[in-house]
Amino acid sequence: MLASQMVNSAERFYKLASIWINLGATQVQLLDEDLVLVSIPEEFTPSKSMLSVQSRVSTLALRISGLTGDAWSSIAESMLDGLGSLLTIESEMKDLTAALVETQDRLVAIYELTQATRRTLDIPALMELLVKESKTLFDADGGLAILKEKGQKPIFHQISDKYLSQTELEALAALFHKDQNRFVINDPHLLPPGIHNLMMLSLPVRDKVSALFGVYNSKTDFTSPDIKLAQAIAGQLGAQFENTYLHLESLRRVRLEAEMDIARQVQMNILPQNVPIIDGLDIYAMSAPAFEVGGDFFDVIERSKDSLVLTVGDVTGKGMPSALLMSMTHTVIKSASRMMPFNFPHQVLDRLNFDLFSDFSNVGMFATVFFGTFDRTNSVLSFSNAGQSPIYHIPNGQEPVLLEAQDVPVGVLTENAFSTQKIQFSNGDIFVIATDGFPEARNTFDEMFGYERMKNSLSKSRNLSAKEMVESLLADVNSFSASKLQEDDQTIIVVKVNDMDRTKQFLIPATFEDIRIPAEYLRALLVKAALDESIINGCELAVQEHLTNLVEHAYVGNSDNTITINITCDENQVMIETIDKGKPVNVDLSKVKMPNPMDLAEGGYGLAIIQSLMDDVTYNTNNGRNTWQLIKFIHRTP
Amino acid sequence: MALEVSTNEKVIKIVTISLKGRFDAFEAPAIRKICDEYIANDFIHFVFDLTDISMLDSAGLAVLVSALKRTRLQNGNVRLVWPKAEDAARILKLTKFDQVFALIKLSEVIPVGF
Repeated sequence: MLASQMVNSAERFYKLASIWINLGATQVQLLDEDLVLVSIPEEFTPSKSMLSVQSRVSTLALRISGLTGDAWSSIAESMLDGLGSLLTIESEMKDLTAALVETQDRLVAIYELTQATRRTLDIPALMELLVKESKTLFDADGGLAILKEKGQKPIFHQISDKYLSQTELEALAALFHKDQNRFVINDPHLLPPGIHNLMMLSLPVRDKVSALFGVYNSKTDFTSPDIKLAQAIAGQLGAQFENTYLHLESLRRVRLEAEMDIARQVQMNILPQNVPIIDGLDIYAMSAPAFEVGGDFFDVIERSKDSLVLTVGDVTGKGMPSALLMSMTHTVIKSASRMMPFNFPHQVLDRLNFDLFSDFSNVGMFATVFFGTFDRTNSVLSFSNAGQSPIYHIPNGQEPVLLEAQDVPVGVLTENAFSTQKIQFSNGDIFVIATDGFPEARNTFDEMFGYERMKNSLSKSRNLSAKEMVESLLADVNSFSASKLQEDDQTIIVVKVNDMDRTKQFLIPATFEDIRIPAEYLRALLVKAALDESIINGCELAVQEHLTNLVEHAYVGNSDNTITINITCDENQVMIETIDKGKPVNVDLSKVKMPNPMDLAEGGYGLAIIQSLMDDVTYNTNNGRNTWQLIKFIHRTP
Repeated sequence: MALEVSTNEKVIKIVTISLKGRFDAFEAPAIRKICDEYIANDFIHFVFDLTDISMLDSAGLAVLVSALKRTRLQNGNVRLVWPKAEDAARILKLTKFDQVFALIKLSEVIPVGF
């Protein structure tokens, strides 16, 4: 070893040798054991006196001709030791340099691997890169990677002259999982035939994914630096695999969101977009799913002129599974109520249970359903209630009464177990069918809105229209739950049996003759309501003046057009609302003045008269529809 | 000295129009036409007997005002008999025409006892 080193250090030796020759030596030779490494001069010139010194630290020896004496001998020894040490250091330096170069090469390799994988967001392509690059990096004949997602089949990737079977790969993975600290196996007995050494590591990816990579059949056995390098690669690639999974997940999520959006649209279209307008009934229905799709449904169907179907249901659970069952349930009820001749509502639920029992029990779900028919000839509501809650009956002038369900939900029992109940309605009665999303709405303290608050809300808003009652309830629930998100679907139908003697709608042609019909009706209505003659007369005159104005100005006497008039009288006010499609009016209602009678004007009194008779007059025009509201407050003496 | 007698007959024609029921925009044109015919024939004194009307609206009022305007030009007048139903002619109060029209009792037109 020293001999080869000497070749590079010959220059130094020449300098040393020339010092000795200047001191009188005839020849200087450096020997390693018996081998002459260098001789200066090369030609040997025999000499009587010769100094031979053996190094104390190495196998080197120095032979100097032409000089003798102990003094020279000790100098030569020191010189020889120094030379030996120098050669040893140089040798170590060279080794170190080689190691550094190798480390740098590996760092560059890791950098290149990272660069190559950075833009790869595809699992098989990442595996290919990982195996190929690490095989090159570790100068191995084979490379492998095994990726297994929980609940899925493993993916294998190999690049090798000697391919391992899937069984062998699985056995290696099992071996690795047995002792995860043993990164390297250099014992061929533990390895499949043809494999003499193996280094295997796991990549730090998410919990649900197990990822291994390995290299095998390296020319030299794997060492501790190899493991360190492999760990660095594992760290880098693990992060890239994780990124790729996140990327794939976000892709999946976007796709799922788009699909959910469509599902939601489909579902919203299944539910009625608007409820039938039925003379004498004020109906409002709505459904607000908590998630993208919900398990609640409702329907208001006019079966015939005299029969109205009301249904509200709630399939247990939320999201897609309950939405699918909800669609089925809704469809069965809809077709059963339309096609099937039935006398009692419970027959529809029997049919529903018969059709869908196995579907429900297969997935461990069930549905609460209210199904009712309202007979308009006698104002009787027949209904069957399979676990649906809350249902309120609000008799005219009384507090809401909670009607508890008399039957178990659909999909629970195989045998038919539904019954029919009947309620006789009177004018002014209100019926509310809702899902538990209202009473079970929670606030940030995890308190529930509850049945009592719901009852109070309905009681408070009972004199409003069906739509306003629902809006008022939603406002109460929302202010209760405040910032807490809606957790469950909220569905509700409110049916108000109008006091038909007190509310009336007219659709009349715009002529002076026809406007008498609502004006005279109004008088009769208010007389019946036992209001003061001055109020009755004032309202009648106001309506007369107002309708005359519409005929004269909005329609300019054109009788082809019509005016809609809604007349309502309740405990607090008389309201006359008109809707016309004539010319919009450009008037500032706050600046209307009564003409001076001394001017003997023959017109221009109408609006001033109306304003002096009524308490509130409003006008708005939208899309060619002009709406006027004339309100007279009633102050009854108790 | 013999009594000198001279007689002077003055005939004042008063048209009394009695209405019953609603005097509103639908009826107004017909009443206006009646007034127009009388005025064209030089009748300048009108009494509208509103005793039995159930309501008077601004279109009816316009007929009354129109008649008043035209008869006044010829020194005539329009007088009104207030309806039995106090509120039926409420519009006259709202518009303050109760201070413009002479309001009389029917007996002032046709003296009792004749």
